[in-house]
Amino acid sequence: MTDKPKFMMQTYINCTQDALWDALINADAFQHYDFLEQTATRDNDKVTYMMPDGTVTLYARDLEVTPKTKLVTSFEPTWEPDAPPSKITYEIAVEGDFCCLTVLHENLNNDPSDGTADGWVRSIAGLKTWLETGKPAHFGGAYLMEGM
Amino acid sequence: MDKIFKALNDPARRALLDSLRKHDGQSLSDLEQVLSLSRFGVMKHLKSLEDAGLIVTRKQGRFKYHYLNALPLQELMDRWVAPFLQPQARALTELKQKLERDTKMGKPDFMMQTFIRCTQDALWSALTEADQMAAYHFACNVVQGNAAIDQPTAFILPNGDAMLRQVTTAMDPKTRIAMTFEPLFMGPNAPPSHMVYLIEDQGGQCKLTIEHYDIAPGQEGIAEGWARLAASLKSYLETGAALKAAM
Repeated sequence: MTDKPKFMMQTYINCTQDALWDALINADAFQHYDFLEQTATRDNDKVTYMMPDGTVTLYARDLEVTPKTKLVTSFEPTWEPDAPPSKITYEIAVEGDFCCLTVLHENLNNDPSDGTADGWVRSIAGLKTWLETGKPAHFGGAYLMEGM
Repeated sequence: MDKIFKALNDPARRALLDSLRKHDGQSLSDLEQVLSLSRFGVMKHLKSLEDAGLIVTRKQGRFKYHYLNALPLQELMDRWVAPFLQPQARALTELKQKLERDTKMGKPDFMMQTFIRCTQDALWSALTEADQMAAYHFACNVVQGNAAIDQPTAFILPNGDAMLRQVTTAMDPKTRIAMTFEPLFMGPNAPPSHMVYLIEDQGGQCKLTIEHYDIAPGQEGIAEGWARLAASLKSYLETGAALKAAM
């Protein structure tokens, strides 16, 4: 048990379990729904995330992979090089024609209201739109980019 | 009015008033301790204050208790000071009321946000029109009553029971809806709470915020309902197909 801050959210997505799993595990899919339009590349169990200009923002290592059901990864942002990595758990539960996706971000080094929660809400909304409409969705908004 | 100024024109009497301000309802014996005067001297001062209406007394058994009466001083303030203070005082009072109104609800017990690719008009219609609510509500296919000030909206389950009743309490067109939340699905006596929808147009997409206040202990399950509702609403607006839960 830890007292470090954590963030949890759930949503329901009208898609197959395979499609949702692929969107989470396949680094190429990330560019279609990330709120900052980042891209990702996978090298075995390590995924590297980059801003559109190529700046590396984050590494995530697979810690536990249960195909189609559960993915646990580390969360190692480059903006916190000295902080201990936090941990992300994605869980997929099939419910009739759609899936329930639970995202848990644990061992955070800061209050989730400082931006972590907002980032998740935006990216998961984008993931849902992308999977349901087939159109990429980046719920970042120009005003967010201006500050970076 | 002369009596008030006369009564105040003495350090011993002001000391008695100060003592009552700190500790109201003192007896003569209590007040004797305040002043290094004879019992008679203190009684004389108290009489003068009582004549001026600055203190009132109440007898109980053998004792007489003295209470500060601020009314005559308030009347003096109103007469000479208030005309100067009024605009500022009124502004401050209004500020206080505004702050209290805006923060009265405090921190929500539950908050969630999502982003929906739709127009502000479409989201507003979906949140206010009963037939649209019925189309996307995860559990109810019948909803009675559009969202309108002081009007109820009832969410009806397929078995005919009302699951939820909401009364709209405030509306800011296209941006905010405040409603009560009467969770009938948690039993006939489940404590009601209240919630707010906030819509922010971000050009081609809307940010929807759901805030829920005063959720009673044991009603934490409401969070799952909101996750289902928001997800289904988003699907409905973006694809035309809602996410009805298998029940």
